[in-house]
Amino acid sequence: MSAYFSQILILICIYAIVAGSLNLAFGYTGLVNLGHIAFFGLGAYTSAILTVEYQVPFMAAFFAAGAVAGVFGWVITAITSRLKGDYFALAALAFNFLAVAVFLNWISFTHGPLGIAGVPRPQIFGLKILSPEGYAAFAFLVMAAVFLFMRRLTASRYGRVLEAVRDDALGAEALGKNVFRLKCQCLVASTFCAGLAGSLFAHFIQFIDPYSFYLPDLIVALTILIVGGLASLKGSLAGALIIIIIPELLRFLPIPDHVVGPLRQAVYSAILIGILLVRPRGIFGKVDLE
Amino acid sequence: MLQIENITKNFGGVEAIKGSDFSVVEGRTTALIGPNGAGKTTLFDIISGFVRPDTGRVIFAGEELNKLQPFQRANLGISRTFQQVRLFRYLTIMDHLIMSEDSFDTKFWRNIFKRPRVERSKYEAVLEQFGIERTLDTVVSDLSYGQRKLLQIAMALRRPHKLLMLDEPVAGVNSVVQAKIENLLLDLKSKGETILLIDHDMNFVRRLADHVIALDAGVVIVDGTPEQVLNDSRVLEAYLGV
Ligand SMILES: Nc1ncnc2c1ncn2[C@@H]1O[C@H](COP(=O)(O)OP(=O)(O)OP(=O)(O)O)[C@@H](O)[C@H]1O
Ligand SMILES: [Mg+2]
Repeated sequence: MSAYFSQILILICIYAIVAGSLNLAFGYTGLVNLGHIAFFGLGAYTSAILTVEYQVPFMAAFFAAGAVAGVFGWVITAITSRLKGDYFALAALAFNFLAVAVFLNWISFTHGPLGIAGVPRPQIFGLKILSPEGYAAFAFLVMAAVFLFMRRLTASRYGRVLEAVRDDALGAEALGKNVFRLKCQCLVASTFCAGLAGSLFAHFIQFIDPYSFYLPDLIVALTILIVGGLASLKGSLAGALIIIIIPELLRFLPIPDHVVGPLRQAVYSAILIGILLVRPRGIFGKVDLE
Repeated sequence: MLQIENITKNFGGVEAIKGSDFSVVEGRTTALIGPNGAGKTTLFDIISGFVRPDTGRVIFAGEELNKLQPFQRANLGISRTFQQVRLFRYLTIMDHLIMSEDSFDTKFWRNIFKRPRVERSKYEAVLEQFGIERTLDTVVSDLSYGQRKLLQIAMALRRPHKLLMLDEPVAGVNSVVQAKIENLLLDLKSKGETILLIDHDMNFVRRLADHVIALDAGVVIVDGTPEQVLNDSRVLEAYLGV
């Protein structure tokens, strides 16, 4: 039973990081990054390939996962710098399709649709984390560190400027703020965190394939984000807690296993639509979805 | 201080600016007047970098600005307001005032590790000076139109700057706020500010400006002292449409 709870806690931590970092870009800076899951996937693949194929120590692979995702985050902002609002969102979504296509087809590197199996459990400074409880503690530490970092950033004057960029980028430029650089930095920070979450995910599930980083996951991340509320890190934490736990309750109902999967998606979609109708700002949201 | 040379701008067939030249002298108040659609705001946008001219140069403090981004021009010392007030709807008055002050807030790592102390009294004094009777924590979407305009001018003034550009600072506000802004500008003028302002109110312009530039259909028609320009038959014609 304790193993089961540990697994739930690990998932909550991973999704809290994914949604919280999406919130940094989307909620605070107005960068509707619909390709966020691609960066989660890039982190997972980086960490898995480095540890499985090249026997790189876990901690190095973990940070490399963040770095690779961050570099791609920078590339995406640079390429799309001339695109506004909805067009950025579409370009980011297109990037997600592209990333999955690469995961699927660059077989020598990613094993394509077969995925990468046998991703090892982390070993940190000689200590191998084998138990679910140990992994949960590690995931919790990572989540706490990521949220502390994002909290320091968003609560600072820098955070106010990010919000200014979201509310009126032109007005921010007129005050001498380099909007392009701010967007780049924000997206790099956001995708770096998503990459770390990807590493946590790969070493937890110990098997990754391209389909783990696709639209269903984007829906989960968006649902957490919207339920918790835009521009609220507390909201993303609460959202992850609620959204990961609710479908678990389905297990305790007399429902056949093959129905549980699709039902889970249906539940997410229903929650997403429900909250948009009833409380569009989510639980702790500070800004409206536009 | 500021020279505009042979600027033209075409918006998909509409010739908004047709070869304008003029300059703004340091320590003086220059007014840009002209009927609706004359191209005044377009000139402001060209100077501050939000609109790229088709031809011509903008020279500020001896430096050619054409290749610079709007934020770079702002940091060289061009501080402006907008005809359509631009504020950040979810932020408070205090956020706005702090943001206009310096560029500490754009430093990523320093903001993570350092938290400068905020002296509220300093900002309360600004509200007092501008007659904005609201608390610092008021979110700007709750402000009246006049209060937003005042806040925008306060922000432009707080930025370290050499040139202050105001696009219709008193349009659409009541006479009390109008008088407040006028006194503020007269005070700045006496302290040697360099101001470039756009306005339709001839009496307001007469009281404030040292120098007036009249624009009509994208062309500078008269350029001179307020008496010269405001009594010129071409200006009266442009305004009255005779
Ligand atoms: N972004 C744009 N796209 C197309 N046309 C534009 C654009 N901006 C301005 N114009 C046109 O350029 C001309 C000059 O506009 P501008 O806003 O500079 O006038 P203005 O002198 O500021 O007028 P007002 O007194 O009404 O503020 C107008 O005909 C306007 O329709
Ligand atoms: Mg105008």
